[in-house]
Amino acid sequence: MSFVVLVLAGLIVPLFYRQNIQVAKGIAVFAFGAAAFLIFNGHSLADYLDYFSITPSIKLMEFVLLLTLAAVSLSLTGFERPLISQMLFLSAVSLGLLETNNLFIFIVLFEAVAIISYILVSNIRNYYNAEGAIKAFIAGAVASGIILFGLALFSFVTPSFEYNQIRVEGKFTLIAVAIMLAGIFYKLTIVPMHGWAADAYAQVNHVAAAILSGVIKSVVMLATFNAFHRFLEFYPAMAVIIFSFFAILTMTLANFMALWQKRISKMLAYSSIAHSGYALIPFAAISSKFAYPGILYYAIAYIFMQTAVFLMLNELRVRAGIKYISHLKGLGKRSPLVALLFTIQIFSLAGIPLLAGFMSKAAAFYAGVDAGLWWLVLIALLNSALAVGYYVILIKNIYLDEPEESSTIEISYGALIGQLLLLGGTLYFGIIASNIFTSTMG
Amino acid sequence: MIYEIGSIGNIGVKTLLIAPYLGSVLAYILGKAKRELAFWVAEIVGALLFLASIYLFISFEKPIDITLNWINYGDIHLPFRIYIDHLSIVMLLIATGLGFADIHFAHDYMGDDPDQPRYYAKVLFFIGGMILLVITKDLIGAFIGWEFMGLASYALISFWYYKHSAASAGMQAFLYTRLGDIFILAAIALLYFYAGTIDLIKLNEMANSGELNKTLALVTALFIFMGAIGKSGQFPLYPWLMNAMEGPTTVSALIHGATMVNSGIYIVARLFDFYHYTDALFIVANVAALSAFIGSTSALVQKEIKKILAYSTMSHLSIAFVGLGVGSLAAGMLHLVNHAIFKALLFLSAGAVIYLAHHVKDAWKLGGLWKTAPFVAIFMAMGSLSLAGVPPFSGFFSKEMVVASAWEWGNGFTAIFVTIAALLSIAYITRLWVLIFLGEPRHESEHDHAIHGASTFWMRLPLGILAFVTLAISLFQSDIVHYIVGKEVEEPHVAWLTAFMLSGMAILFAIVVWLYVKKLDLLQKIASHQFMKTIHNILFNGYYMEAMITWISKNIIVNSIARGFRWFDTFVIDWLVNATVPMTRAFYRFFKKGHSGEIGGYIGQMVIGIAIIVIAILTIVKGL
Repeated sequence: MSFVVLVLAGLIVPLFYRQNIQVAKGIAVFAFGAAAFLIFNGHSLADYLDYFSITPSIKLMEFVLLLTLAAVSLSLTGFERPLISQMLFLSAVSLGLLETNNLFIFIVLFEAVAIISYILVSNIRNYYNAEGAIKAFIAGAVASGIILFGLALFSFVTPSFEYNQIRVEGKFTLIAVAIMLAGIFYKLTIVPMHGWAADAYAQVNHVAAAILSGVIKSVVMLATFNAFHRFLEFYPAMAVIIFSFFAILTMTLANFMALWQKRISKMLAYSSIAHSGYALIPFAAISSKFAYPGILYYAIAYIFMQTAVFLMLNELRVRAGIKYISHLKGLGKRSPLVALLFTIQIFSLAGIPLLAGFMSKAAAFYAGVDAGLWWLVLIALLNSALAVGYYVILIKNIYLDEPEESSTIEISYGALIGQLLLLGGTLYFGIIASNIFTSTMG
Repeated sequence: MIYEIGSIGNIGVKTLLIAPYLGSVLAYILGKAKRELAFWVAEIVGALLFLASIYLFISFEKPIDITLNWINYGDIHLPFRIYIDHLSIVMLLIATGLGFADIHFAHDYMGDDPDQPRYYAKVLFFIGGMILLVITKDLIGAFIGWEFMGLASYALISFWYYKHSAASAGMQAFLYTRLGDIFILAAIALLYFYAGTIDLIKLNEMANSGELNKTLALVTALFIFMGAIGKSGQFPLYPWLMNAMEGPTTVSALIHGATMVNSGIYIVARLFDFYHYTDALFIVANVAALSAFIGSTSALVQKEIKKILAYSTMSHLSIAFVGLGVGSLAAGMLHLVNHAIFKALLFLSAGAVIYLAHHVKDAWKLGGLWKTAPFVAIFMAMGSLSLAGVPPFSGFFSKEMVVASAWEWGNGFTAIFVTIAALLSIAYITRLWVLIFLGEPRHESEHDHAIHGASTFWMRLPLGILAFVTLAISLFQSDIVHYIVGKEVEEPHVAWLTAFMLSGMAILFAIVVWLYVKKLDLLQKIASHQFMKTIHNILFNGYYMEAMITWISKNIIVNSIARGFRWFDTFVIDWLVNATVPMTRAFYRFFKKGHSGEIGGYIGQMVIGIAIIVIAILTIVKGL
């Protein structure tokens, strides 16, 4: 039912947003709320479709997803209005992606998410937007080809696409799975499949970037784990080698790149790539029973903080023309509330305790240690320390430097409510960890 | 039973846990919009908390024991456990009841302050911390509450942060109490690793059954007592309490008179069986007796109203500690309860006096206020009599009980010192009252034109209620003891003590009144003697403890140890940090080559990535 509600809302919304964006926003928020309510009452795609099933942890992730998208739609301005219906479609597809237990459907829905993301970035206002959109599209097209090639290979060897009937026999299956994963790595922005993301996240409309780098990435992160962990469990040693290699490469390269950026969006793009590196640790630690809680926590924490920083950056850019790190100077004096909201989410990204970012890192790294990968966790910790370097530069500019302009920055009420919702998520999952852990039990 | 957070059954517990923090945020936000709202939010939340405590008191059947799953992950189990028994309820009633009275009183006292939202937000946050301390079952939860209070105390002492003295007093309070807190943290770690539990109730049970290692128990008990020393202003970490009087008087009344400073006594009382099992009580008793003596003698010569009260707080907390130390939980806790009420009354009366006299705090500059503020004078007199230990006020019973227990315990040092401290309280409090209310106004120019009446509803009412309570609860002394301890307590009986105390008090009272009312010139003659001047200086400066601690921290810690670290920091750590700059830039330049911005290059990288994966699998699988 929730799927139908979201799709219908997505179809209805375009009738309204040209005349009155507030009505469109209201419909969207109502649809997200209704979908969440239906999920809470136990409705899911599994009710009337085969190949779908739902667990408490998936339910939690869906709640978080709908909450985040509601927060995003609240903070939209007139320019971004087409995004409303795209987000509704995206959420419907994401529910399917999270709930499916069939690899074929997973790939199909993954492609659907990819296509929606191309439409999201096509909200082009200037040269930079266009460049980012083109890059995202071309890289995505290549990745689609790769994934479909992997799926074709895979279909030769498998009797069934259902997750729990999949058998892994021989090299052929492994290579097919690896090629599919490589294609999905593009969406997860794993080095060296990340080049497009570093540019696209920074260049496309920041709201689209928030959805692309926050929402879609988290959903894909979790869904990919659900789809592929059975393969990896057959060859944990191989998972360790491949995923550790890419994890280390991704986080190290992205952190060094982020450290010397001057543009905020570019820095956040690289920070997002670095976070993908940390998120690979539970994949590498597949033999630990804490791998799933680890990735779940990571996805949930990441969706809040990454979406919030990009949304806030959008507000800052629209209202005050803030693009470069030096523009942030004295933001703490110009607009204390805006600065505080921004700072908390950045602290969460940096992994400061009592915020979701810290607990998610702790959960993911715990899985790594439990699987005996302490060296990987050590490198990840060193990388986290390195990452604090560039997050602190933002904080230093916000609070310690004198403002160059004295005008205050007023953000809209919608954006404020959206930010507060996301802040609530960051704080709640930073302090109260038990919900996520218990949702993965039983 | 294991609950998730958010599914606490008891509505009272829920309110107590959530309302203070919610109220704190609301008071600040709404107060920013409209200043009066801050007070009303605080007043309503204060009343709610008090009602919740009363509800728990009335509906109490058996101790409430709730386990919440805070973090439960792999080998890491951090439950958040709530345990509310009679002791907790008594502490809750004190914290929320006095908190409510204090907020009510602040309506006028803080009425002119432009920063009211900040004030009420901090006060509610403080009450939240105190509640957390007294209702948690684990040391870690109690420690969080303990630190919340420390933070709130720091923030409230330096509430008028633009005054240099207030800012530095806040910092001093924070540092002094932190010194004690470090020991508590160490105790938590020791207990967690060696005893396997940080559950306060279980520690008591283990002590009773003799399971605990005695050395470990002694060390941890002393470490926790170090924290209590810091928080409750005992020897040698007391100077912060006197300087804390820089804060608003309502803050002094609530935090540094009636509630937070009791937390040290509470933690020892909570772990009483544990302390009894170790021999730490001996040390508790002796340190406390020494502190009681220091506090009461120093209070004799102070000039500022609030400093006199601060030293008397120190001395009376020590008396309560002595009660615990000599093995009488009943005596210690009874004195804590009585003291909290009459000390809140005294501090709030002092607040009223200071408010009436337009922030003149020097007792020598006041005088003759009897005529302008008779009600305040009467209420303060009732508080003073209770503090002095004059029957039938409540202070008499508990003080008598502590002193008698001390004599029965049989350690001469403790007994003599605590008796002196108990006797001297009548001297300093009479001196204070006489200086404020009797005689002719001194230094008229400063305040004669400025006195305005106390508002009946906002000021006299809380004072009157507290004065009534301090008298009325003397009827229920044995009930309170029974309620807290849970069994019949044998009253200590020392035949000569009551007569001795009463006659001693009468004599001291007579001397003080005679000197300060009739013979001020004689007093000045005595005081001008060189020997008396020296003694006066020692007492006035609190035995120079602050100077000693400052000397030690300045010369030994800052100038020698910290210098070594600073050298290390400047030449090793900083060098390493600076060395990362060229290193990271080199990496950046190297990696940047791969980020040309051309999509063709990116696609090429993707292909390379796939090649790496496929080749890796081919090589690895062959080996498998």
